[in-house]
Amino acid sequence: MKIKHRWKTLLLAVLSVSIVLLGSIYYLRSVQNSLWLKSVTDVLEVTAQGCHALDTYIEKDMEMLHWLAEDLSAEDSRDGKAIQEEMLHLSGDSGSSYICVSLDTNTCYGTQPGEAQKLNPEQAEALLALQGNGIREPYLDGRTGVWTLGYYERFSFKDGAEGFLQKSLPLSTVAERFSLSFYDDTGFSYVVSPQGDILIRSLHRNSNRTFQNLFDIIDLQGNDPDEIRSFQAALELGKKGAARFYYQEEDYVFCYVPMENTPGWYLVSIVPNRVIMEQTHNIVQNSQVFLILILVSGLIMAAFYIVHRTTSRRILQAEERARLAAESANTAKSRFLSNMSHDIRTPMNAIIGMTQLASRHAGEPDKVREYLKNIELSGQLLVGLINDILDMSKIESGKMKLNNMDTSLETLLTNLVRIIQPTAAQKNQGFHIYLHGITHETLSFDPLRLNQVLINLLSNAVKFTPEGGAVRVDITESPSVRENRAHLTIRVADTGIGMKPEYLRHIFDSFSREQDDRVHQTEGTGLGMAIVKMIVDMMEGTITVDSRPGEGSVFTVDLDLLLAAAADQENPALPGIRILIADSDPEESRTTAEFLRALGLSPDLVPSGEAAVQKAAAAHSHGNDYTLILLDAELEDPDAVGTALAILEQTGEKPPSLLLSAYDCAGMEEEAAAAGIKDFLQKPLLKTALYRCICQNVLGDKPAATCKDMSQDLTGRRILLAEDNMLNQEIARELLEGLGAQMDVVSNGLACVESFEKSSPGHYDLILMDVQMPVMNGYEATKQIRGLDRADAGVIPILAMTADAFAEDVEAALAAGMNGHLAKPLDIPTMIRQIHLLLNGNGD
Amino acid sequence: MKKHPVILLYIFLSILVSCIFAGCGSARSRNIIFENSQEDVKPQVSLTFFGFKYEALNVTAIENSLHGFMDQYPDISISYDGIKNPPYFEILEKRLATGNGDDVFMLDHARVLELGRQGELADLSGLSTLGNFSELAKSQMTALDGIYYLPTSISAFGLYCNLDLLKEHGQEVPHNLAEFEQVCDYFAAEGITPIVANNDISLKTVVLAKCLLPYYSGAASGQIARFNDDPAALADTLRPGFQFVERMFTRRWVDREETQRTSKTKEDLAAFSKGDQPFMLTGVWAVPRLRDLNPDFEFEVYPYPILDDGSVLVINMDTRIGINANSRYPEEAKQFVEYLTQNDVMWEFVDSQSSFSPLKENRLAEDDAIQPVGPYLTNGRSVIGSDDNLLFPIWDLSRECIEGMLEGDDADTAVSHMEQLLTQ
Repeated sequence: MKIKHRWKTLLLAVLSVSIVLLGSIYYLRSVQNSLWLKSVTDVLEVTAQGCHALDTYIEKDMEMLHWLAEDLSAEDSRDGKAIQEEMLHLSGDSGSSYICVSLDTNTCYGTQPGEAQKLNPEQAEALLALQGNGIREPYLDGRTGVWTLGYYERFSFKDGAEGFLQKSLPLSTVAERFSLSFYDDTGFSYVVSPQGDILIRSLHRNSNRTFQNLFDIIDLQGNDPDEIRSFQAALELGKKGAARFYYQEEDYVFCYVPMENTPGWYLVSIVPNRVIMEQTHNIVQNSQVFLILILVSGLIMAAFYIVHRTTSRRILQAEERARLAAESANTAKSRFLSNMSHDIRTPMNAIIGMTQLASRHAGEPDKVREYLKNIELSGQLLVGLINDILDMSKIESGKMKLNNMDTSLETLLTNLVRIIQPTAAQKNQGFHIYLHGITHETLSFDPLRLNQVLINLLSNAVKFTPEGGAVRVDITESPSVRENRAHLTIRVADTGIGMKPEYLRHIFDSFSREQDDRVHQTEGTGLGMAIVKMIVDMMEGTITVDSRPGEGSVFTVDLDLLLAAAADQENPALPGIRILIADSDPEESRTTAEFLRALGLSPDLVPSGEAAVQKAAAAHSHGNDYTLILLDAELEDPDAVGTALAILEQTGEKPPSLLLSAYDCAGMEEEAAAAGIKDFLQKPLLKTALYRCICQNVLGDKPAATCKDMSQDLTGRRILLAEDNMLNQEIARELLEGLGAQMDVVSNGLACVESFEKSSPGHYDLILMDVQMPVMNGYEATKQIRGLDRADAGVIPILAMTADAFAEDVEAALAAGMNGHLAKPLDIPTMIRQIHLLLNGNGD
Repeated sequence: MKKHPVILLYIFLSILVSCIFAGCGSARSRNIIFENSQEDVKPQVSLTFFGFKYEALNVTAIENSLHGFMDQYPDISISYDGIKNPPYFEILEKRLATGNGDDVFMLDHARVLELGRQGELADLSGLSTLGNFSELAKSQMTALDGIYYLPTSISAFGLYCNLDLLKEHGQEVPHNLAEFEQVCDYFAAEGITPIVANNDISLKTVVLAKCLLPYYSGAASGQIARFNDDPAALADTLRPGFQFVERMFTRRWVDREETQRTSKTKEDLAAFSKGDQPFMLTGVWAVPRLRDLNPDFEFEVYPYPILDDGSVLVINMDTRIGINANSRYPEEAKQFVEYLTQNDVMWEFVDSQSSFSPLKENRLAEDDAIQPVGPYLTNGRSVIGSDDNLLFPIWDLSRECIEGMLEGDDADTAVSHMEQLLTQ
């Protein structure tokens, strides 16, 4: 369509220019022709006037001759004396002479005194041929040999005899009088006969002096014979007109006017066409310049118009795009507000409603507990929603930055398991994480964001997988094409409800949720996948999804993560110890074995507790007991505890170290400990963790903090809390005092500094510092505390409490001298864990 | 920003329209004076030039000369009056006799003699361009006591050769008598009359060419004048020429009856242009006229190959210009004659008429067809047809004798006739 429109426009433009050009050419030609015609008409007019003047001159002479003839007609032809006397009175001017002839007797009387002469027969015949009156064509005088013009008149003498009177004058006399010239003496007039013979030529110095006949000069030049004939015919017919012929390498114009008093004679003006056209050329040139100016102006205007229109169109298009974008943004905003309105109001309604119900049923503790639980759940949902919205906003406005730091996969996965495992266990779902080819346990990435991605994917997987389903994570390391990086492929697969193909196309759009009853029954804001996609994009990775309704979904995230600045510490070689791995999951078993082999060990693998017992017994019987037996918490028949008891029974004097590996060992500690299990290993098992565990449990190294140590006892701990919000003060105080801590609470940063300064060194074990406080903010207060001259000023743990956990906030906190941060609203378990880590010296 | 271009456009259009309308209007009253240009000065002297060249082809060169002269001498105007020959000389004499003689006029040999004797011709001995003339021309100009004319061209008479016809018959252009006889006999045997001749100049020039070369380049060189005292000897000298013409008739090289009817530069050209005959005898100046007849063959003009040792060229001092001794403006007339006899002016004049220059000239004629003739003007193998040193009108007299031969006279009769005419 556009192309068609362009062709039309081009055609129109070409047509317009052609019309203008053709019109201009036609106009110029017309002007040229008109001007030429005008000039020729002027020449013709002047020629006619010259002709008239010559006619008048001739007429005058003819008149005079007539009077003379009348005088002579009163004489008798036989009275020669009287005639002679009459003739003697006549005087010729400028060389003219008169003769009077009695045609009857051929007697000729002149103006000179003397005898009359007799004409010879030839002369008499020539005179007799002349009838009436007129002008003889120029002839060579018989006596003088000079070109002569003769006016004559026949008359009758008194006695009836025929008389002939003639006035002769040199042709040069007439020629001198009538030398018409035109256009600066470039054109001249000639008197010609109907046959074209030059009778009288102009004596002007520039006139032609030699040619005898008009057609001599025309015929020689290759002019069109038809036009020549037409010209000849016009002369013979006594017409008036103008002709143009080629002569001496240029065009000449011949303007011809018939003379009146000498029938057949013509006055012909011959002018070079070039000269006639000179003035025309000026006008035409000026017209051409004018037309060119008009054309140029037109082109400029057209160009201007095109540019203007293009610019306008671009502006309009840009405005249209902006309008559409604004409309889209407005629509998105409306949709967002609509979604948010619902998604925010729902938990808010639940909170308010549950609060009212709790208030109403204050005396029923069970109900109150239930209501409070619902309030907590709704609160968490609301917090999650708000976090998602803030994250979206931050990412879309480009303010989110990745905070890459050397992080161990163990930390990442431990955290992941801690969050997901309980939910999966609640739904009786199988949750496993498998590692493949992991050679770099520490990489440089933003743990918070990667955690966010994985938790989003896993929580969806758990959410949309019915009870009894399974969720598995496969993390594969492979060499990266990019330098100094490791390629991680994280595959999250579930056996959930799956997604329709139409939805898959929009899965990463904001607020995108599948239109399905099953989905609608499940809570969610529709922002999670959009956030995941944005974070993966920020990490310069890719995320793909494969899903079929009813068959589950697989999300695959590919990332190229920087290798850690400090290379993974090479673990010193372990002494040869025998290790038995009892794990019903062959993949996990294989992975664990690979790690152990990498540590220089050769573990034995068994798929069940029974086999483990048999193996241990056999080893014992051969005197080659296993030093370490790793039991999977999911062993069945017998289970891990049963297997442990059986092994101990079999190995009596030399019991191996029994360890329990599980995703979640909570609730199993006592039973396992009673069965002789010495320690617990958090799954998924990494080489470093295995190494540490072997060192601690076999080689006697100091044990690290395990989940067993993660108790919530803060007895004897003194904590200084700086928080300006009264509610947060109360929550924190209640929680921490409930765990046995002694709390000192201040409301601003300055008071915190003063309290710390007033206290004795080592009085406080920990400072919880809010950031946004009046009088002095948390960063400034921390800087001041760190700057105090006291032993504990530089080492006392200070935890920031920030409204969000963006990278900049974390950086600012660390830069101020804080040891860590907690995001508000406070996540109590996270807070407790952070506190424990800091207090026990393992915080990072 | 959007509105500015539109506003500019409106302003521009307004200015344009204003200019247009301003241009349409004009002042009501106005006076413009045109000053006379310098070229409006009238010449003080008017010369007249009378000649027998009147055909358009001939007068073009004269026209150019006149205007060239007037450009060089703005005070002088000169007009030309041309009348064909023979009435021309009659008119000339009338004008001179009645005091109406022109300032400058053309002459022939006879009139030079006659008018020179009558004192009608001004002496041109003092002209500045005399040194430009060749020795041959000077030998003619100085024949009389004083210089009374200047030749403005040398006309030559040649053998026109139809190259295509010759080639067709396996013949070549003859360069001596033997070759000429052989070729002519061949064509005569083929039933083709080899030579087209006219009743005026063709055969008389053969006579003169056959006999007079020794008096121009041989032992008797420069002795032509001795015939003035012995006209009988002249007639006898011409005998071999008449005999050769007789032989031309008897060997059927020339058709006597046909020649009698053939006028110069008219019927002879028409006959030759048909392409049926290999040769024609006439003036070289006729080449342009022959070309006008569009012959469909190639031709060239050669000297007469009628001598044992080669060819000979007949030439004449032509278009002789004299000044009226009674001219009102003798100095201005001399200026014109001097102008006309300058090298480049002369060359343009002669080349346009397929003639040759009487000046010392090495330029080749522009027309290729006549270039074979050129070298003979200076290589000593040319004969002057009407020599000023001869006080007889040999040009006219020889024509009369040939007329007799065309009517049946034999060679001896022709010689006798000549003697008779010379001694009259």
